[in-house]
Amino acid sequence: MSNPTKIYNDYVRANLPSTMTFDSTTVRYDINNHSFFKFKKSNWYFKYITKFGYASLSAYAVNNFDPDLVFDFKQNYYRTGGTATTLSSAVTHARAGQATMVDSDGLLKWAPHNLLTRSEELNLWPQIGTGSVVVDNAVAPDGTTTAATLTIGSTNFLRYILSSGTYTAGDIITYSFWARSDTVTSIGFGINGGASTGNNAIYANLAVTSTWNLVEFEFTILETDASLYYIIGKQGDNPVNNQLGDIEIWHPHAYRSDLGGMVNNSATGNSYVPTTSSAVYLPRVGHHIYNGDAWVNEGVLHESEARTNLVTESNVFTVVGSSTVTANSGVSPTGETNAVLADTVASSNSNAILLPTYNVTAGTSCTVSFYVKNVAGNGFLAFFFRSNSPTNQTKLWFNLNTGEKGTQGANGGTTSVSDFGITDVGNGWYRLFVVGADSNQTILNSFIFSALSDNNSNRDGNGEVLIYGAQAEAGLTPSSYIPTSGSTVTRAAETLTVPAANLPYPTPVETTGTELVTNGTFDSNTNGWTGFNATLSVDSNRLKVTNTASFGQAIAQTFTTVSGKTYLVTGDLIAGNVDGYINVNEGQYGSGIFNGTSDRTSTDTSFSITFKAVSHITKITLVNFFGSIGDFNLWDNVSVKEINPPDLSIQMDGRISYADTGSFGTVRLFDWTLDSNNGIIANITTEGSFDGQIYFTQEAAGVVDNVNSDAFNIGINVPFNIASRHGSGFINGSISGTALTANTTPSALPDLSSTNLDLGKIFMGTIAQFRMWNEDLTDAGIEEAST
Amino acid sequence: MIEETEVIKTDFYLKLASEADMETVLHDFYKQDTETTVDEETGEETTTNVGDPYLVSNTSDYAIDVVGTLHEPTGNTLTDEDGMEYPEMQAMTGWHVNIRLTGDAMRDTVETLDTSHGVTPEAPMRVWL
Repeated sequence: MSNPTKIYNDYVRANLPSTMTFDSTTVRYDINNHSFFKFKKSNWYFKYITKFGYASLSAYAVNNFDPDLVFDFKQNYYRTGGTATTLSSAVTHARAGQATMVDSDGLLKWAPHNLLTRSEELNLWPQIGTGSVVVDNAVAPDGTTTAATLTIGSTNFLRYILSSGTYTAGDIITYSFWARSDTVTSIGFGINGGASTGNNAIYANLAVTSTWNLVEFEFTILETDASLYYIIGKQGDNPVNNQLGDIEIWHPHAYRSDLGGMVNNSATGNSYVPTTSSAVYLPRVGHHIYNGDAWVNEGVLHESEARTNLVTESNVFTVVGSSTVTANSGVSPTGETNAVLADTVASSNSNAILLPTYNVTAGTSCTVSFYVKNVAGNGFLAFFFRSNSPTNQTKLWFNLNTGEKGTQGANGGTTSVSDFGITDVGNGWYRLFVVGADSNQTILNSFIFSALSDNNSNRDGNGEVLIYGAQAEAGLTPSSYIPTSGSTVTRAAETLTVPAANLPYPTPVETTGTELVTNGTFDSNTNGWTGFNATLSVDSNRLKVTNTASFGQAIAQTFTTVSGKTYLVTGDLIAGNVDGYINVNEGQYGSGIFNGTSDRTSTDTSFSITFKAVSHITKITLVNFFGSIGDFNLWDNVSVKEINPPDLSIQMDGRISYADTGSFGTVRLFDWTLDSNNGIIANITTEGSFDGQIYFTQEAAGVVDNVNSDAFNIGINVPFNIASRHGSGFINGSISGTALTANTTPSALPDLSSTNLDLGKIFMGTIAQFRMWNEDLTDAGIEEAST
Repeated sequence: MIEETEVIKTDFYLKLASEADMETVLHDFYKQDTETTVDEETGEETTTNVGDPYLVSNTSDYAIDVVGTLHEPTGNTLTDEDGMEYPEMQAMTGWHVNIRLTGDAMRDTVETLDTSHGVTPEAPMRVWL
């Protein structure tokens, strides 16, 4: 039976307008430097530009410069080297486990992942029984020849793959793959426990037809295990024998499907995530935040810190007094009917609902959070942050009618609260958080109750709330939800690394082309060069610099420069038996402009040094780094030319959650660091009296230059939009459309041409967009970029 | 039940005698920043440590969760002055560290540590999400 959607897509893609193309790699329609996921939108744009004319610049251009690098996590569009590409090609993401996020429907879900390894290498799955497999043998649902053909030669045939990880009793997993067959009508599949036998009776037999169908089997982990076998074929306990014949299999995958399910892979738009040797946990692209009216796509949720939920049963609550809790009484933020109805019941001041207790290190600040929705009563909720006595408690109130935090009582006993807040998460639900510590106690057992009003400890006997998902984590802000069931659980830290090859480091462009060095190729003599503690000679059309003393050997040549202009020094070191490097100095005897000591090397090297002249005469020195009399180096192709200074500009926007840690690097938006002497960084500091001062820093050869501004205030999901411009003669930044005052003291741009960039190095929040230009956008440009 | 496949562990539970053993036992995961200076007259290089060694707890190949001291219920239930019941807890011996491997770069090192310090808890008190 044919697939009408595929037929339609194939037809559309074969009959695109001449100016539009379909990229099967990115699965997007490209036109006029714009890229679209849906043909409908692409065609609308086609009609628009047909009517109003083409523009040579994309929507990401600023000041007539199109960025070479674009990460648009909201639109799921990625560009490197000026060409559209995929997320996985553009940036390397790492996180060693699961994480949760909010999808476009507002439900709390698992980030896209695949627990099943070797998803496209069924030939590497071990086999039992008679049969075989041939990968990349059949036409798959997407039209590529990437489906595997399984030949089932015995009734007990099976192939299996081992998946190691955290499998906790009660977890719900969906095991799925595409299947079709012309010879069999049913396929058996299932799992086996890796170490325990409690999961061995989980299997299914599902129908297979001659058309491709996604076969899905959802099951509950019955016994905690550290690994599972995923099986295609007759699982041991399955009483149904295999039918013999050929079956085509494509894209097997397994994923957690409790909570609200799993968010689709942004690259494919479906639940499949390709794997090789290990499980894959993808970045949280398409994370949504409720704005009070709708869930808004905020880009990628990125949390660089590992966090642990210290609560061992995150959705189990108990009571004191005559209050009651009733499990599974309402729809939670996951969409499941597993919210707990917490009824204060009566006005007795001994009534309350206990949040799960947890162990902490005394004096360590923790953030306690949970979801709550008002059901009945006055709509005020009291939260007593406490340890184990009415003395050691700090009282806080929330207004669930308005979504506002209320009164914060005085710190009680050994407890203290540094912050608290309330976030609207939609559908009447709020996530409350309290940041507190107890200087003496190690067991915290906070409680809540419906209060008669703000700053009132009297119970509201009619008060009822739904509650869900308690979390207690070391740290000063709440992070994404970590469900627990029987143990404390850690969400691993995550990283986003942009490979150097994807970064648009600027290439110097000559201005006049005039060579300023006399005799830099040493074809027949050493004219124009002078030795110092060295003899100069020509060796096979190269300059040989031989020490005549034990240190300080150098040769030098002066040339004419224009103060303020930028020049590029290049030269090839053919290593002799001592380290070599290049220095640049002002005038014949002036101070150093560029000290190359830290770049010295004993291997053949092509040097490339950019500097800004500070006088009408400049000197370069080819240096033998100490050594003995007779030690030497060879040099060739030494050149100095005026260039247009290499510049670059960067823009980034999103939302951050941070607190006052008192440190310089409270947030590090991006970090492009070669070593301790060279790099470009954007920090947000809370050091001293600052609660959100941004520092744009560039450092070249150990010289640090920066611009800064007290731009932000601590909080949850604080919006930011920043841009910066960097060059050999300047650095400047812009925040939300307002440029700072440029610092024009830099004399060099650090050479980061081979250096990876860490995006969101110290960062808890969302990144909407990150763009880079190998151009100076100017102050007006970075204002536009950060708007 | 399938039994013949060698189980390639990704999650390791280590138990050290104390926190003080961290740097010694896990030294392959510690980094020490250094600074090199050059004597301008002799050319002699001197490398000195900058700051204290620090644990690199997250790379693309592994993640480390320093669990520290674990606590277990004694079985007794305590009641505070508000009538709230909570379990009495007691510290367990040792200093606990969980490691999850996502690549093979540190596998040999971690498997060696697993031999010397690994434990196999029936129900781990700390797991990875």
